[in-house]
Amino acid sequence: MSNTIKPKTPVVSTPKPAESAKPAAASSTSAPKTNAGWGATGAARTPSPTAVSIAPGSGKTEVMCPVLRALANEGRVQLRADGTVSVDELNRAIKELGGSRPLGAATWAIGTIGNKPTDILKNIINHEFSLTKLPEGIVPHPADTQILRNGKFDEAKFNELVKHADRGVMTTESFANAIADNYRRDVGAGANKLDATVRGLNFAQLEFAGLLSVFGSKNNATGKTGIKVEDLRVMYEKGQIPPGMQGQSSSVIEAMALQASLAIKSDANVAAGALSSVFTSKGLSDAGARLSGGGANDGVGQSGQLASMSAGKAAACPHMGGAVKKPAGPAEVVNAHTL
Amino acid sequence: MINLEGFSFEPPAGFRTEEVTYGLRFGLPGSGPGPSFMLQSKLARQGAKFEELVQETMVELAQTIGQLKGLTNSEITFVDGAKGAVLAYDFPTHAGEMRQYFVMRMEKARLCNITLTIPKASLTDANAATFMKAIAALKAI
Repeated sequence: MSNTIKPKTPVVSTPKPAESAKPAAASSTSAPKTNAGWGATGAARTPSPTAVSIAPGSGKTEVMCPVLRALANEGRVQLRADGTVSVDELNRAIKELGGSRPLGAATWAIGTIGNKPTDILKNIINHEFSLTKLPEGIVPHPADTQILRNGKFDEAKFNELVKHADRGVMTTESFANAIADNYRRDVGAGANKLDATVRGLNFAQLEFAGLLSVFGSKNNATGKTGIKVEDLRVMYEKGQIPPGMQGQSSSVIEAMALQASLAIKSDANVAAGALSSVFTSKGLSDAGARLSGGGANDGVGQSGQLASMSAGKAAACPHMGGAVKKPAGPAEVVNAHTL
Repeated sequence: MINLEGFSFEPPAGFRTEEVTYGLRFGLPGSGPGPSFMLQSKLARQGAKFEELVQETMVELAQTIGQLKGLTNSEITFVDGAKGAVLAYDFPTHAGEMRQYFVMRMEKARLCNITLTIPKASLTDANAATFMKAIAALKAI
């Protein structure tokens, strides 16, 4: 019995695990260049006593949204004794930081529905919502980072987020990959798949699109919008908006464009699991890994299939399973999915 | 009568096997990560050339397996003289890095795909050669 295996030149080159794939240095914390609590005009901002009482590091349950937490902690919005803030004040704060008024209004819309359904009408009428009651509303959703979910900064969860950074910067790709990872984490842990897919993915994409549009800056060389890991750390850990995240200019349109970009990237990442049928090459490969004990994509297949089925694409895709020749070039891919 | 490993199935008259997928694992159940085979025979896409199918498989694997590394395409000659393709690559899993060989062979209208997956921790030249020899013994009947 004879056989030969003749090596050929590799045809496909896989990208190097570039520097971008390396986890970003998570331990380096750069202090803001200006003292927290001081605006560019030098006007003093003082956090309210309630904000001080639940400030980062206080040991008390903190506000779980990193942006709202920082705004209250820096006195950009005044956290009242009952835990509420004025949405008009929030609008002004967002505008001051570089967001447009409509973007502030969009934030307000999210804020007002961030509490329990029974509070929403009161929130809209009074133009307020409770920062301290966010955990009771729709804000805690599947696929979130969980960095502040337990009421204080979670170092491990932060590192999970920033391991996707590209040379120390969290770009749309970085956030999209993080969202997809968080989605798989929650689905793998038994989260409701429909909730994780419909609510989790959408909310996570919306959150990070807002974050990037207000606080991100564009790298002229790459054209990518991103936020430095060190600045994100200051916001999540210290509850401050660092100078590197201030003074940007953004609009609702930019936020929507970023959200669309995030959605495409994170959905594509998740939908890759839809190829898990053994009648696809990826699925057969996965099955081999599973049998070998790797379980490379435990919990991914079903969730990915659901994501794709909800989009009404993968389940009926004639290219999967080899029934029809797969499109190769970008133009062919677009045509195959739009004709 | 079809043996389904612990089950048997007698299809009604008129049915014939169109596609088959087998999963084989080395060692006892629960013995931890170990080598495995996936064996599959199915009808190839009508009109598709073998090289085309190999190329598509490479693209699919490269685009969908997270952190896939070192993808290569080699030619294999089976004991009966037929030629096939071996795609080899590494990728990480919860149980450590895996080395996987994705072997393809086309015979008339049928395509046979075989994966050999070996945890890199237990990968040696000897066991890889033994397992690849078994793959190379694949015959068309």
